[in-house]
Amino acid sequence: MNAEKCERLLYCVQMYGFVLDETRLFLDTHPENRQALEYYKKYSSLYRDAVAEYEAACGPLTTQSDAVTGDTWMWSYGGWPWQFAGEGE
Amino acid sequence: MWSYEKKLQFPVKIKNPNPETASLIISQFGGPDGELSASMRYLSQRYSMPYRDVAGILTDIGTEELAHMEMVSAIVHQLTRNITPEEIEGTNFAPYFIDHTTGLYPVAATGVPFSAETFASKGDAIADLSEDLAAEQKARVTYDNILRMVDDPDILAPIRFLRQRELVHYQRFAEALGKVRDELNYRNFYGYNPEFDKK
Repeated sequence: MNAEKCERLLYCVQMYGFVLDETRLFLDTHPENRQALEYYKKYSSLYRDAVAEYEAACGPLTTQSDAVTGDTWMWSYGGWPWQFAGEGE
Repeated sequence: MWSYEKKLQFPVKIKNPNPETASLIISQFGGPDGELSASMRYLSQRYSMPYRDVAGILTDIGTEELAHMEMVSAIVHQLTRNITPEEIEGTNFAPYFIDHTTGLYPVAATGVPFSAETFASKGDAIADLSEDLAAEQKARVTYDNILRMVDDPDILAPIRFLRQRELVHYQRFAEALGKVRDELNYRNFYGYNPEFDKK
């Protein structure tokens, strides 16, 4: 696992994830806004791609992930979001 | 239910520990207008809220506040990681250290432990959403006050992000309050409580 690469890939996940967080709240109070809904769908797809790319290289982001494979439980392996690279290994 | 995503909503990477600053920022974890209080406020208010769209905004903002609590906790943790007793001595963090070492415990900057008395769930749509609007402004002021005390760019970036979210939440709650008013009798918004009384 390449720490720098994972940091960069996670940044993409965070960026697209934030677009969804922000747009979700807007849609909650503007459920009929078609433009916002299309925007949400577009970024949902980009978010899923970013998650898939991250998980393939750096491990699962959720326990429901497709990245939960192989014969070892990798959930804690990549560290936790408040830790620095290599911390707690 | 909730499921955990192994990421912060916004990156927190603080290179230089600073226990003094940690003892101030921890207020947004366990203080009167902190993120724990925010999350518990909105998630508790949802159940008796009769309007689906308003219960939706309470759910989604309440959930985002959990992510903010995690960011604030990460900031406090990184500001106190690998510090020595000598670095703690004489700082405002020392009394906290005596009781909690560098573990995370929800307290205000004044040292008062977290209390459910810092938030309300009144069971009245207008009262609760008015509380929520005030809560977002009070949290914004707290972040403004933290920003007056901090100059480390590693801390400024996530704190500014969190401050900005208070403004967005305030906007969404104002829209939710508007929706509640639209459902009520415009001649007397207070004629009955839609969370309890029958029309």
